[in-house]
Amino acid sequence: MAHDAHEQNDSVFKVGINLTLACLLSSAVIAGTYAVTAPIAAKTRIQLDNQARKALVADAQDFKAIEGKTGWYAALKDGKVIAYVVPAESKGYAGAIKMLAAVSVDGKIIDYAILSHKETPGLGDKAEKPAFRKQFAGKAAENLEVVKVPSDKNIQALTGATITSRAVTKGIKEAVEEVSAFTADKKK
Amino acid sequence: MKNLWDIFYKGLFDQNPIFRLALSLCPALAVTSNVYNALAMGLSVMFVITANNVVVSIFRKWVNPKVRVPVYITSIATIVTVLILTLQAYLPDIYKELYLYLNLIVVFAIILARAEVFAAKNPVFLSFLDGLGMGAGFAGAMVFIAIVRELLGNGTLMGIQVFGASYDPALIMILPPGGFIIIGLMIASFNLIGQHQDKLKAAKQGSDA
Amino acid sequence: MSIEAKTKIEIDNLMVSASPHIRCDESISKIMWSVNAALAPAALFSIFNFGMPAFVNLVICIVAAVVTEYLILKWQNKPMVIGDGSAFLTGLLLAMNIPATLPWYMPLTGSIFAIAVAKHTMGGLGFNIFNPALIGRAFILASWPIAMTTWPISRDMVGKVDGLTSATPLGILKLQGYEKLVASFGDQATMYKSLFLGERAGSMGETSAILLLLGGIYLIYKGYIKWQVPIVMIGTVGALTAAFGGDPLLHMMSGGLILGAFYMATDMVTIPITTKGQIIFAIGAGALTVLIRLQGGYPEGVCYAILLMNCVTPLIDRLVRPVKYGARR
Repeated sequence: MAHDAHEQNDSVFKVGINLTLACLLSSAVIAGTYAVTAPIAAKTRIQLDNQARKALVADAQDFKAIEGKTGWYAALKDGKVIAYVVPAESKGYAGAIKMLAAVSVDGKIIDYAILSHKETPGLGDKAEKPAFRKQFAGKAAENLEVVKVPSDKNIQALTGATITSRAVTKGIKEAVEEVSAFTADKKK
Repeated sequence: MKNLWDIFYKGLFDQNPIFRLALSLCPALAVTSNVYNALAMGLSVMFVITANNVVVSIFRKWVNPKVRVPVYITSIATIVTVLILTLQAYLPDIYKELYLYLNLIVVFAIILARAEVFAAKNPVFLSFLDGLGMGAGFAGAMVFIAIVRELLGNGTLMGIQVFGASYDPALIMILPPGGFIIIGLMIASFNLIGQHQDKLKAAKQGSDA
Repeated sequence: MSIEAKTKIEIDNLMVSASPHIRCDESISKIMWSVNAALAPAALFSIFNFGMPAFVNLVICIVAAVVTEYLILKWQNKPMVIGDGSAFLTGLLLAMNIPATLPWYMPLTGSIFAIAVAKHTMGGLGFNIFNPALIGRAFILASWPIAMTTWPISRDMVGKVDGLTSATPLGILKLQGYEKLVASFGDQATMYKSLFLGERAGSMGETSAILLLLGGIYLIYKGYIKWQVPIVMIGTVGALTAAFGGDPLLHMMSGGLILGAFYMATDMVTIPITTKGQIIFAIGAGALTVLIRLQGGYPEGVCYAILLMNCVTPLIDRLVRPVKYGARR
C-alpha cells in the first residue's frame, strides 16, 4: 500500500515535530483560556465562600480570615466579632463528611453546612436538610450528643442513618470545642 | 440532504453511544441520579465531541498517521481543559457537581472513536454533524436515564416535586443499582426495537424482490 | 475418534446427571406445589402471628407475581405455565421475607420486579441466575430501607414490650449486644424456646423455626430437596459462629437462616446440579451469612449470602463436573 510505504519513510524527527507542534498549539490555547478565566474563577470562588458563610451567620456584615488558623473566619458586625465560621470534618458511613460550622463567641453552635459527603442518598444525606440541622442551633458542646429518645437537649438521630447522625454531631462538637478553646485563649 | 440528515440521525438511535454501543457507561451510571447533572454532563460531552470532530477534521491533512492517536488525545484533552476552566469561572455550581467526571471525558472511547472513524476522513461540516448527532444521542440517553431515576428515586424532576409528598420514593433508583437496572432495560428495549426494524426491512426487501 | 473428543461430545450432548435414569411421574408443577404446601403452615402462622397486615401482604405478593407472569408469558407468546406454581412460590417466598407491616406498594413492586426482571429478563423459569424472591427482597430493601427494617412485634409480645415495633433478635444483638438480647426475652431458655416457636419480631415467614423445619422435613422425605444443603448451611453457620465466639444456637434459629437454607438455597434452578456442588454452595452461603452477620453493616445476611452464591453457581458446576465411569480425569 502506497500510504503505508509513505509512513515507513517518515523519519522519527518528522513524526516528533508533528506531535510537538500539536502540543504547542494545545498549550497556547489552554494558556489563553486560563489567562481569561483564572481571575474570574478566583473571584467567583471568594464570592461563593462568602455566600456560604453569610448563609450560616445571617447577621454578619463582613468576614475576616483568622491568622494562624487555616480556613477559620471571624464574622464581624459593626466591627465586633459575633461568631466564628470554622471547617469541621468527621468520618461518616461511607467516607469523610466535610462541613462548615458557625459557632457563636460564647461557644454555641449557630448552624452548619455540609460541603461534601459520600453518604447514602435518601438516608444519610438528610443530614443536610433543615429538619435535622435546626436541632443543633444554640446548643453547647455538652449537649451535642446523639440519643435514641427524643429530647430538646440533645440531637435525635435520623431514621436509618444513625452512623451519619453521630458523625455529623461529632464533627460539629469538635468544632465547637476548638472554638471555645480558641476564645478562652484569647481572653487570657 | 438526506445524507446529511442520516449522518446526524444515526447517533440518536441506530448507533446511540450508550444504548446501542454500550460506551461511556461510567458517567451514564455516575451522574444520572438527577436530571440537572445529567443534562450538564450530556451537553459537556456533546460540546467536546463536536469541537473535537471539527478540530480533527480541519487538521486531518497535517496529522502524521503514526502519531494520530496521541494528537487526537491532545486535542480532546485541550478541549476538555478549556471546558473545565470555563465552567469553573462561570458556572461554579455545575463544576462542583461534575468536576470528577469532567476530567474523565478525555478518555471516553466514543470521542476518540468518532475522531478516528469519521472526522479523520471527512470534511469539516460532515464531521461537525457527526459529532453533533453522536453528542445529542449521548446527552439524550443521559437525560432519559436521569428522568427515570430522579422521578422514581426522588419523586422530583430538576429538583421540583412532581409526585407530591405522599409519594414514597424507591431509593434504589438513585443508588448505583438503579442506574444499572435502567441502562440494562434500555439496552434490551433498543435491541428489541432494532430487531423489529430489521424484520420489517427484511419483509420489505422480500416483497420488493 | 480420540478419547478426549468423544468425552467432550458426550459431556456436551448427553450429560444430565449420574445414572440410573428412572421414569417417574414427578414434574415441575408437582414439585413446586409441594414446596408451596410445605411453606403453608409457616405462612398461616404468620397471619396468626401478625394479623391482617400479614394476610394482605401475602395476597398482594402472590397475586402480583402470578399476574405479572401471566402478562409476560402472554406478551411473549410462550406456553402458558402459570399453573406450575413457580410464580406462586416466588410470591409466597417474597412475602415470607418481608415485614408484615410493609405498605401495599412495596410488596407489589418487589413482586413485579422479582418476576419481570429477575426471572423473565433472564429467559424465564430455568434460566434465571438468581432466586427471584430474594432479588425481590433485595430490591425492596434497597428502595425502602427504613420500612424494611421496621419489624412489627408478634402476637404474644403485645403488652410485653413498649410500642408496636421492635428490632429483630439479630438486630438487638448487633446494636446492643448479647446480654441485652437475653434480657429482652427474660432468660436464655425462654429465648431459645421463643425462637423455636416463633414468638419474636421478624419478617413474616421466618419467625417459626419449628414450622419451617416440619415443611423442610416433608420436602426431604419426598426427595424434592437434598438434606445435605440445609444441614450443611445451618451447620456451617453454627460452627463458624461458635468459632468466632458467638452463640451458635441463637444464630442457627434466628434471622431467615432456616427459611433460606430449606427453601431458597435448595431452589433447583439457581444452585449447582450435583450433590457435591450443592454442598460447596451450602458451605459458601453459610460462611457468607456469618461474615455479614458478625462483621458486616447489616444484622442479617442470609439473603445476600444466597444471592452471592447464586453468582458463582456456574463456576461450582464446572469445578465438580462428574466424571464418566471409566473416563480419566
